[in-house]
Amino acid sequence: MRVAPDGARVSSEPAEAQATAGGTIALPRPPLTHEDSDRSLDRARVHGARQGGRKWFLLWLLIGPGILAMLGENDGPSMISYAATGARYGLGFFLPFIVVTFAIAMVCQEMSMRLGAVTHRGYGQLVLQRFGPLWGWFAAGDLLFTNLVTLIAEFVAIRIGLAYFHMGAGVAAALGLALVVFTMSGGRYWRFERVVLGLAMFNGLFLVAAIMVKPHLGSVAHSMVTFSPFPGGSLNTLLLLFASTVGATVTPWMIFFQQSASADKGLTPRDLKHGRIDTIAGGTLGAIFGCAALIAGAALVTHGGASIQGFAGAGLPAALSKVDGNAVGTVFALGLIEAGAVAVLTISASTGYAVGECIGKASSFNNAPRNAGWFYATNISVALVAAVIILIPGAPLLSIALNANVLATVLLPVTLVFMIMLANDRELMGRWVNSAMLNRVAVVIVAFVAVAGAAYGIDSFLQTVHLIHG
Amino acid sequence: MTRSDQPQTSLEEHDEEDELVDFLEPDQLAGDRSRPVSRYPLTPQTSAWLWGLRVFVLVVSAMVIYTFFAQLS
Repeated sequence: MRVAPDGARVSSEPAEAQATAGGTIALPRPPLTHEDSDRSLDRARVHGARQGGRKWFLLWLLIGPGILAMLGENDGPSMISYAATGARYGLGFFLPFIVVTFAIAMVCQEMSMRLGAVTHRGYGQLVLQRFGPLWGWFAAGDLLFTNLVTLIAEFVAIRIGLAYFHMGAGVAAALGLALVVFTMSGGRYWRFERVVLGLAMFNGLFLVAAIMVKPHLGSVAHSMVTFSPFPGGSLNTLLLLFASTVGATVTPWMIFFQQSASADKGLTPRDLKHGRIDTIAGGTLGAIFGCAALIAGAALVTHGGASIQGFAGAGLPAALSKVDGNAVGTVFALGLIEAGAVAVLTISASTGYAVGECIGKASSFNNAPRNAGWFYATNISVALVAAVIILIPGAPLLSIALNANVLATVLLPVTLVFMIMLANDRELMGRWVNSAMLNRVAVVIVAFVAVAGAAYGIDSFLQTVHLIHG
Repeated sequence: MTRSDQPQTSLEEHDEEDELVDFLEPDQLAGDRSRPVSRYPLTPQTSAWLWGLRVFVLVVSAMVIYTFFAQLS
């Protein structure tokens, strides 16, 4: 939906429809850019598929941002966190809890997709313009900080995966950076999306690993239905796992990414149904693969899983290979490389979108680098900084990976609140605003995320300064 | 291509461009997307609530970061 400079509402129908509908307001067309030409080519294919009644082809054309956001968030630190939880506590509460967190993610990401499809603008741009530069820069600052920490953790995951094959941090850094440059080199959103989507499908390696450890299906089903056994241990450790599991599924970058990618892809209100299918498909795949990582890790629970701390080397994959054979270790290591690589691509993209939107520069994969220098430079720079940091010898890699998720959880409530305000903004969203029921669910989610992050942060801090004992 | 062909080609390109742009909503054009939207009328209560949330997450973030470095040392 368009808000004209004078505040008038303009139809969301394509220009062709506007010319014949009558009564709509025609604004002078801005000069066309390369970005417009590429996006219109993609939209022409969507139009053709819709007119020709080719439902599956239409779905193929319109899926992407939702699956990328969800599988991108099944990233290195998340999979390490899930597997480490499984190794420590076995099957139990955290297995169905992953499904719950993905359900939460679906609610949030649907709003994000809808905002992008209706307003054709990214989250950073909307917050900056609608709520003012201060809030816009706060949002971008939060994102930049959490993305940098998370990207370090992604390179850590790639490094852990490669360490299993006796390759070092330098290879991990080079591989991640090479992928970023490769996916950006086409000057088309469609190409970026399809390459990353192809890579993201290898997130299914965690399902293969889970099948290979031959879990007891009765125990999996029992945990799923009963949320038990509830893990024991220190409250602080549980709070850390709780917060990092939430942060492993819903994060600020996902919201920035899916909204900006939906706008960049050219989704419109007519595509909302497919956008929802895309989001639900991504969430379902993400939940399955996330649970699979925990189930694979749970194979270590009776083999000293709680004491696995050597993730800076080949920790989890090596431990799995000792328990269930080399093949499982290999599959898990490859899964970690994939999880880290896909997240490096999506998270650096979300940083590029946010910075470009906040400084008012072109931020689209449909632009050539010479026309969107800030977007591409930010994309590469943030990945480069993270890659350099993992080359520092003795860096506390597991701790960085877990704390990246916790920080994302702590900062998420502000991002969610602005997203909910935007999704209820009738001037922007017209008839596509949130329903009353969705708002109630959204408020519960914000409260849940805020409590999850704060509980660990406050408890850890009080223990660190010796005001309470764990 | 002769000099006399050029205006014709340019016109054809222009028509093709116009045809393609018809598949976009008007506000999907890059030039239109960069037009600012009007400011949201934040009430003082909403502003106060947002600042409260902002300060809360910054304090908790500081606690997490402090704990992270304290545990390292």
